[in-house]
Formats: sequence, C-alpha cells, structure tokens
Amino acid sequence: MSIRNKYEAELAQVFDKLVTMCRETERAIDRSVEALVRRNPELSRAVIDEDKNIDRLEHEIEQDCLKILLMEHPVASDFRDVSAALKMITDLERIADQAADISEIALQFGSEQYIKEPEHIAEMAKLATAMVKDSVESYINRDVALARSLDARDDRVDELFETVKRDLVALIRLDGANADQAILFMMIAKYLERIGDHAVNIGEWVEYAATGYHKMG
Amino acid sequence: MDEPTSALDPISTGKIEELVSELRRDLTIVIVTHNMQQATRIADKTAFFYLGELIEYGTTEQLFSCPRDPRTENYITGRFG
Repeated sequence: MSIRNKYEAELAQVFDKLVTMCRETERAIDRSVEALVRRNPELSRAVIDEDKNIDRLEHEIEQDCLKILLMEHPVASDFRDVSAALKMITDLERIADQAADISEIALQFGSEQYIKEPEHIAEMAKLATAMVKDSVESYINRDVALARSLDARDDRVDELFETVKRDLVALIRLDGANADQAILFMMIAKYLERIGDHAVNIGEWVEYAATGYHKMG
Repeated sequence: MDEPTSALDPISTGKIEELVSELRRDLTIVIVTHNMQQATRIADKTAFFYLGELIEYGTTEQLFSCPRDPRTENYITGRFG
C-alpha cells in the first residue's frame, strides 16, 4: 500500500466513525423526545445509558485525527477535512449530551399528567433532528448549499422556542402550580434550541472543509 | 538558494533556516525546495512550479490551506509527485 493510500485509508476510517457518531446522535435526539411524548421511562434510561457510546466515539475520532495531524502533516483539503472533523465531533457530542439531559428531565415528570401536550416540543425535535441529519449529509456529500441552508432553518426552531416559552408563561400565570412542569418543559425546549445551533455550527465546518471559508459565529 | 538543506541533518537544517530568518530582514530570499514542511515553516509566500510552468503563487498560508489550482492541491497532498 502506498503512503498516500495508507493515509486515505486512515481518513476513510475517521469518516466512517464520524458517520456512525452522527447516526447515533440523531437516534439519541429522536428517542429522547419519543420517550417524553410517549411517557416511556425505559427509553429515557436507554438514551442516558447509550450516551457513553457517543462519548467513546468522540474520543476515538479525536485520537485518530490527532494521530493524522502528528504523523501525516496534512495540508490543503486534507487538513481542512481533519480539522473540520475535530470541530464537528465536539458539536455532535454536545448534541448527544443534550439528548441525555432531555431524557433525565423526562424522568423527573414521573407519572403526573402533563400541564400541556408537548406538541411544539415534538415539532422542535423533528426539525432539530432533520437539521442534524442534513448537516451530516452535507458533510458526506460535500453539499455546501445544504450546509448553508441550516442557518435559515434554525430560525424556525428559534420561533418554536419562543412559542413554547409564551405558552408556558401563560400556564404559570393561569396557575402557579404549573410552574414545576413549566420549568422542565422550558429546559427541554432550550436544549432543542441549542441542538439547532450545534447543527448550524456543523454546517459552517462543512463549508470550511469544502471551500476553506469559515463563517464567523 | 537551490535546495539549501537537501542533504543536511535536522541540526544543520535548523542553522540554515535561522540564517535565512536573519537575512530576510534586509533581503528577499528565493528558495527552491521539495520539502513542503520547510516551505510552510520559513516562507512568507510560496509559488508552485510544475514542468517549468508557474501554476500558483500566493501567501504560504493560503497556498497550503486552500490552494486555488487542483494541480497544486494534488502535489502538496502527495496525490502525485
């Protein structure tokens, strides 16, 4: 195997692990909100438990990238691919942590009836998951247009966050006893809003890997 | 300077590179090298020539992080050479 082929095999390994990490992260968000909506504490516990697998993948990819930087001294698109991967795994790991946080909060509701069905939260989750999925697709396919579209799509997640916030404030004003659950729902909505932001970050690193241009936060 | 450190050990190479750094205060120095790491280490600007033709010229940072010409990209990443 030539030196270049060996290097490309190492990059391909990072790429495969990154795709696996992305798929696991998407699944974690989906399942954390499914557990909340369907009131399934076993599923919440599974998401919390499986977060360690995503942490392990982050660590492995980080080690692989650092080894490539040390041993191969990549330049040009090779360098951009490795540095983008290093930045992307940080965002993915945070997204997975937030899915685990949502699951922990879901467990705190216990068996009490919800003060409001979380339909806007479910919609936020659907949009945020699709954004994470597309951020990864844009990396796999070097699709800069798809990566750039994430910023505008995040505006809809932010709007839904404002809607959830307004609804919860109204419920607290209606009856102070709603405050405990309202705070839990508010935290979940905030985590989902942050997941949208992380997907936008991933899109910005995809643009950097493809073009060399990195948009400032 | 044409390949000024091509047959030297790392200590001697370091001394030549230090000398280049001192001279650059007063002089413009052109170095021909096939050592990509040396180019990124000491050059302000880099030009890539292929088969006698100037393919690309730019700041060293630009040329090594985001080359404009695919032939430059292929050469510095080791896809051909």
